[in-house]
Amino acid sequence: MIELKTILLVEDNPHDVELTLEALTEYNLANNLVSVSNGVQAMAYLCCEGEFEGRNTGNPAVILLDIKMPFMDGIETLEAIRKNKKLKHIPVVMLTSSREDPDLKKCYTLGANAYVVKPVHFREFMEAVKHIGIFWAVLNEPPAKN
Amino acid sequence: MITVLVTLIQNTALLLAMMVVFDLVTSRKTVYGQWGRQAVAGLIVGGLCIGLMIASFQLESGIIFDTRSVLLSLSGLFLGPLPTILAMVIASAYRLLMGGIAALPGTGVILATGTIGILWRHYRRGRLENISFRELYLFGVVVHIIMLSILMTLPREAAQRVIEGIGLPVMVVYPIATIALGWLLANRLQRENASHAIRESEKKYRLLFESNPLPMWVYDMETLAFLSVNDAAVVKYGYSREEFLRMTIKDIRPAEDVLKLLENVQLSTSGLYESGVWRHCKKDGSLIFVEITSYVIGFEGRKAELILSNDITERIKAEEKLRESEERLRLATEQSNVAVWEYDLNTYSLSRSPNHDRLYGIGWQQKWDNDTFLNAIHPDDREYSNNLIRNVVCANGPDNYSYDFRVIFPDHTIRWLLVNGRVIERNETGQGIKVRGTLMDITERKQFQEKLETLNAQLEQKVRQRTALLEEANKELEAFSYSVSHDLRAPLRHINGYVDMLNRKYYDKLDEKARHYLDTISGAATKMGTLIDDLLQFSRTGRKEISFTELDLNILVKEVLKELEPVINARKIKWDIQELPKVSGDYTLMKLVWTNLIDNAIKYTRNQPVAKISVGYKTEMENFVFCISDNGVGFDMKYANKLFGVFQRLHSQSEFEGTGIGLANVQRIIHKHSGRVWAEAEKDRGASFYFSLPKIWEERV
Repeated sequence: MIELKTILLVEDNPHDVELTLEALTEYNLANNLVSVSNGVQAMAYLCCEGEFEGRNTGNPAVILLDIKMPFMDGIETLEAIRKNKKLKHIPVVMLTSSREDPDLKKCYTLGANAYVVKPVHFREFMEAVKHIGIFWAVLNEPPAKN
Repeated sequence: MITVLVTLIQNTALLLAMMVVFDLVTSRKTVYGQWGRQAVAGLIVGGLCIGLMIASFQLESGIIFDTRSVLLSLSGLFLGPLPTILAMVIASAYRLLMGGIAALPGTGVILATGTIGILWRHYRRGRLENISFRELYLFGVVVHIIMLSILMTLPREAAQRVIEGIGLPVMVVYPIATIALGWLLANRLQRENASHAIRESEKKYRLLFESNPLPMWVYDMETLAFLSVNDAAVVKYGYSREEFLRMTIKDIRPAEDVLKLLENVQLSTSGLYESGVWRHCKKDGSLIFVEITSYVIGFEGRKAELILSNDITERIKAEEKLRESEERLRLATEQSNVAVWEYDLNTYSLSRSPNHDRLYGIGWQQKWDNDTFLNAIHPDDREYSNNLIRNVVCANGPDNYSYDFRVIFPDHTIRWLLVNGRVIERNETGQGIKVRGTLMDITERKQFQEKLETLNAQLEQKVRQRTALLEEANKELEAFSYSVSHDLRAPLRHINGYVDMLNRKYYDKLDEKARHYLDTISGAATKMGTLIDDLLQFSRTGRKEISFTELDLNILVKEVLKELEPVINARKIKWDIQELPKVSGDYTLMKLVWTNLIDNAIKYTRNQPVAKISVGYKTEMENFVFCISDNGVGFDMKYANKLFGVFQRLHSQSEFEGTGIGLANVQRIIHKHSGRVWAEAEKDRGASFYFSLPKIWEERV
């Protein structure tokens, strides 16, 4: 049996969260999804701090990180993840609304593994999210722990 | 014996008498020339010899004595070879004709004495006219010893008789006769030489007058008539010599100068006068200025004055010109802001135009030394000015210099002066000793300059402020675009997402109408997404910095066609694409232009069974003009001005979809490339879109 790992979705817009969940449901990946609404919460989750203290589900297989968020945006969060020794190997996929986003370049420099443009058409979006979920949560082996 | 003596003395006296006559005759002016004169002298001397022989003393038959030996020897000595030889020939011929026992020795005496004279003349030293009595006596003794020796060739008895008879009287009388005659001839020679010298000297002085390069004349101080004029006067004044001699010196003066002339003549009494500059009239009426030098002389018994006239008209004119130009300069500088000056560092003297000191704001200074100069300058500029001047006049300093400094006027206003100077003379060590230049009041210029600088500074400040504002606006716009791209698209995505979920999960429960509503919602959301994307792009092209590169339009157009392949393949299009040039432009933007125009051509020809699209260009002055034509629906030219406006559309959405941003974008990009864009069309007859781009791409790349 395939071991399904957690997918961490960091997204402030509840509609996008719902739609993402909807997309993952089709492949039975929805149960593995943990969603938080900003970078601060994401870091708390990853570091098992605050409301996530005592969490023992390990690191997620992949983090879907929206760029534009309140308090701590995607870029800052990505930077924090890559600086953290325990977290820096987790694959991060950036979610963006525009292909022309000037922040995209910065994301790659900071070590993002991929990006997904959230299409206007829901179907395309769903396809994209599904592929990401399957690729990282199911197929891709995380790097061996040192 | 006494008889012999007396006869010989008589003959001598005859000789002397004839010689005096000869002298009188030959001292007259002769015109025969050198050879002629000598021949005449020879003939006369020969004749005299004959005369002497006729009046000779006859010792015995065939033996005669006379003073021809004295005559011929002295002829040889004083007259030279030619006359003497001629005389010898004549005398010898006559002696031989007389015949007698002593004919041959007599002839011998003639030849010998003449020859001795010639030889004596040849070998003696000193001037002949200064010959001494002693030498003449010695000469006479020698000649007559030889004469007597020749007579020894007579038959023994005859010879003895001759020696006994006349030996003593001859040796007594003949040398004395030689002295007497020789003195006469020497005298004559002296006279001749002296008169020759006088003639030469006269000729020389006449030449000095006649051929003097300066006009000269002599005039009678009583009648004022010209007595003599030289060639130069004739040439200079234009009157002939004859005309001059008929005129008086009043005639070459302007009427108004005559009185002064007469006064001046009165003043000359004797000796040399320099009577200064006068005006003279030439024959052609023109006036000349001459400098007159005169000398009072006696001329042909009259009191006269020798005049030397030196034409100095050119000099006077040049002086006049110089005075005029100085006057002009003085007038020009007097009231102006420019003064001229020249400083002599040896004498510390400054010659300058009258306005010079005024420019310094001080009264006219009696002397200008370094202190005067420094005191006149603003205290803050003194050290700088002093150092600058020192540097200029030191050895190997620069010859030209220019600097400005301030001076304080009595009313405490500060004025700016500009000095342009040049070292015009340096001593042997290279130090400047003479400096010349101009001084100019440039206060107004300075004030203007300051004003200009202030204005410039203000302008720059304004530009900076505006730039800051613009940058801020740009930043805001960027933030806005960012916000639009993220935040406006999210609701659209959600609308689409939830409509899709509705369709998938509740499709069966929806009736036809509800399904139509959902489709409309979804279509509207999609449309709005496209609008937002186009708007964002339009905003980006406005702000984007153009990066010019060399673009091969053939390749670019091929790329565009490749991207539009899905649409093109679904259609039947006849392409006519000309070979295109290379241009300078921004790759992304230029591609957007071509994509837009070609896409439009495809779109608006879709009602044609066979679309015809052509791409070409022509060269116009400094530009390439590109053209994309189609045979599509075209448009009414009266709306052509709306064509390139944002959100302006000439066709309904249901007919041809679009946002109305494409052509606005095209225009914006072409303008950014220094080009123009326009269109020509006719409704239902197709459209042609033109745009121009500058040819010279090399400079920009």
